[in-house]
Amino acid sequence: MFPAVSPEVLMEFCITLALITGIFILACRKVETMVHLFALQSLGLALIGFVSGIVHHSPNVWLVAVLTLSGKCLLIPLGLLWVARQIHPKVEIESHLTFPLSTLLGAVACTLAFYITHYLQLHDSAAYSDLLGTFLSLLLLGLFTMTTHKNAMSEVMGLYMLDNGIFCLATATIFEMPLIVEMGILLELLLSALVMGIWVFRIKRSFNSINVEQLNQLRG
Amino acid sequence: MPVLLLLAIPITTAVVCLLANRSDLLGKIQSMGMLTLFGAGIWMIGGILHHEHWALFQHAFYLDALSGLMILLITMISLLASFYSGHYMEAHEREHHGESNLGNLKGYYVLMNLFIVTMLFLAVTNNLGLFWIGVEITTLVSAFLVGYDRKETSVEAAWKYIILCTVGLAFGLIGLIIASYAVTKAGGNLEASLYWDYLRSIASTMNPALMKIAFVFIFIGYGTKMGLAPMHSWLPDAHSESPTPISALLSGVLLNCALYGIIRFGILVNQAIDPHFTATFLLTFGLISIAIATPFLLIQKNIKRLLAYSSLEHIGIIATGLGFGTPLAVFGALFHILNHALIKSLMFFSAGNLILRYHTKELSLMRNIAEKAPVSGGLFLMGGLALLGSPPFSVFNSEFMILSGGFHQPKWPAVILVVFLLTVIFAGLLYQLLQMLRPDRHSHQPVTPDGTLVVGPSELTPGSLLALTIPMLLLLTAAWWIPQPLSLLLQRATQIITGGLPG
Repeated sequence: MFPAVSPEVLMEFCITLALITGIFILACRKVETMVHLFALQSLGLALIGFVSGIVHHSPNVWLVAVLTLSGKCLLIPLGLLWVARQIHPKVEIESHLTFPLSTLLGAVACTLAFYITHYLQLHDSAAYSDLLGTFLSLLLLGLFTMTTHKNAMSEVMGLYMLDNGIFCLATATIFEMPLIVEMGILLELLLSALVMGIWVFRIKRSFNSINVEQLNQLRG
Repeated sequence: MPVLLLLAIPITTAVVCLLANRSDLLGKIQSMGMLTLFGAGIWMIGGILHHEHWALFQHAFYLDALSGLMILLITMISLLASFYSGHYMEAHEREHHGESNLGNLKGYYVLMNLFIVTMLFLAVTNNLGLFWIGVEITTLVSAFLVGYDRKETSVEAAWKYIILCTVGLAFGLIGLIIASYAVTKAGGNLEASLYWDYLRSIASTMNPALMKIAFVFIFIGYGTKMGLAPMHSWLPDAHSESPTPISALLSGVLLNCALYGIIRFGILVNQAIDPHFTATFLLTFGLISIAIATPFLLIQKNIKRLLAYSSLEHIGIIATGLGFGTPLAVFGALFHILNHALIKSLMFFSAGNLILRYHTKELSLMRNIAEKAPVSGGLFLMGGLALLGSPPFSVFNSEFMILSGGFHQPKWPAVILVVFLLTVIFAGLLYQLLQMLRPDRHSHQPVTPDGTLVVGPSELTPGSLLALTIPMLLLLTAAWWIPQPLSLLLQRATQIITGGLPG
C-alpha cells in the first residue's frame, strides 16, 4: 500500500519540515508558537542526523543525534518557553514587515538559497546538495528573523535557527564533527540559552518590555 | 603540568573569593592570585623558549612562541586589572548602589577569574573547535561583566554584545566546518581534523578554494569578536559600559585573543594558498577600522567611549601591520599588541580615577585636572601622548616598525593613508586632552541637595598607584630596551607567522 520509505525520501521530508517551520518562525507573531516551531524544526534535523547515521553506518552520528534531540528539542525549547511565559504571555511580536510580506520574503530566500546551491553544484550527491540548500535557507531565515522582528526573544530564536542551519552544513559536508567538539558545541548552546534567558529577564526588568527598539540610548 | 597549573590558579582564586567574608579582602585575594598566575605564566614562557614548541596531553595543548606571547599578555593585564580592582570596585559600588555589596563584588571577582581562565585556555588549546567554544564562552561570561551595573545603558550594551558576537561567531563555526571538510577532501583524518599541529602538517595539500572560503567565514567570525570595522558596532558600547578594570581586559586582551584565532588559522591558509590572500584581508579591514575610528575619536565627548574607539583604531593598526606581512611589520604588530594593552590599561585606569573624582564621564566637564587630580590626570595626559604614538614611549617604536615594514613593498600607499589618519587623530585628540588642563570657568562640580560639594574619593591607593605606574614605566623602558627573552619570544612568534612567506 505504502511505497517503501527510502532514506532519501525521509530526508527530503525532514528538509521540507525544516524549511516550512523556518518560514513560519519568520512570519510568526507569538513567542510561544515560535519556540514550538523551533522544537519541531530541531526534531526534523535530528531525524536527518539519524538518517545519515544509517547511511554512513556511524554510531557517533546516532549519539550526536540523540544529544541534539534532547538539547534542541527538549531542554532549550522548554527553557525558552518558561522564559516566554514568565515575561508576557499574550503580547504580539512587532515586526518591520506584515505577515504576508514576511512569508513571501522567507519563501523567496529559500528559493534563492536552493537556486544558488544547485547552480554552483557545490555537492555531487542530490540529497546532500538539498541539505546545503537548507543550510543556506536557514541561515537567511535566521538572519531575517533577527533583523525584521523587534523582539529580544526573536533574536534568540533567529540565532538558534542559524545554528540549526550550521547543523545541516556539518551533516552535508563532514557528517560528524569530532565528538568532543560536537558535545562542546551542544553544551555551549545550552549555556547560551541560559545566559540569554537571564538577559531577556534583565531587559524586561529595565525597560518593562522586551521590544529591542528601546535599546537605542548608546550612540556615537 | 604547568598548563594545568596555569588554568587552575584563576579557578582557585575564584573559589577563595567565594569563601571570603569581607569585601576589602576580595581585592587582596585577587591580587595575590594574579601575582601567582603571572609568575606561573613567566615560568611557562621560559619553558616555551626552551622547547621551541610543546605539545602536551596527547596534543590537547600546544604551546609555541605565539601562545607564549598571549600568556604574557593575559597574565600581565589580569595582574594590573586586579591591582586596580580592589579599591576601584568598592568605590564604584558606593557610587552606584550607595554601599559596597559583598555579594555583587564576589560575583564580579568570580566572573573575572572565569573570564581570565577562558582566555588562557584559548591561548594554550590545540583544538580549533574547542578554541571556538572558548571564544563563545568568553562572550557569555564577559557579558555579565559588561552589564555589571544593570543600568539601562549597560543592559543595552551587554545585549548587543551577546547577540552581535554570537551571530558573528556562528559564521566562524561555518568556516571551521568547511576547513574540516577540506581535511576529509585531502584524505586526512577527520577525528584529528581540528588539531592545529595536525592541520599544519597537512595544510599544503588542502583544497585552496575551500581554504579560501573557510578563511573568509572565520575572518568574519573572529573579526566580529575582534571588533574590526564594519563589525565593530558592539565594541564602543561594551567597552564603555563595563566597569573600568574589565574595559582594560576587554580592550587590551580579549580583542587580541580573537586576533590570535585569525592568525592561527591564517598560518594554515597561507600554506595552502598564496599568502597575499590573508594579508589583503587583514590590511583592508585594518585600514577600514582606523578610518572609521578617526571621526568618532575627534567628536567623542564620553571619556570611556573615546578610549573604546581608540581600541578600534589600535586593533586596526595591529591588523594593518600583520597585513603588511614583512617580518619587521609583523614583529611591530606583535610588539604593538603588548604596548597597546599596557597603554590602554593605563588610560582606562586613570580615566576610572577621573570618573570617580569628577562623578561624570563627560570629557568637557573634566577641567583643571592638574589641581584636582594631579597623579591620575598627569598620567592620563602622558598616557594620552603615548596612545597617540609620540616618543619616548614604546607605542611609537612599534607603530614605527609597522609603518617602515610596510614601506618595503608595493603596499606603500596604505602606509601613507595610515600616517595621514594617525596625524589627524594626533592633532584632534591632543587638542581635546590639553583642554583638560584649562581651569573650569563655570564650576560643574556636582552639588548635593544641601549645597555641599561632593568630593571624590582619594585617587591614591597603593593598588591603583601600582596599576598606573607599572605600565607607564614598562612603556618608557621598552622604548629603549626590550629584554632579551621578550625579543626572542617576539622573534620566534614572527617567524611562526611569516614562515609561509617568501623573504
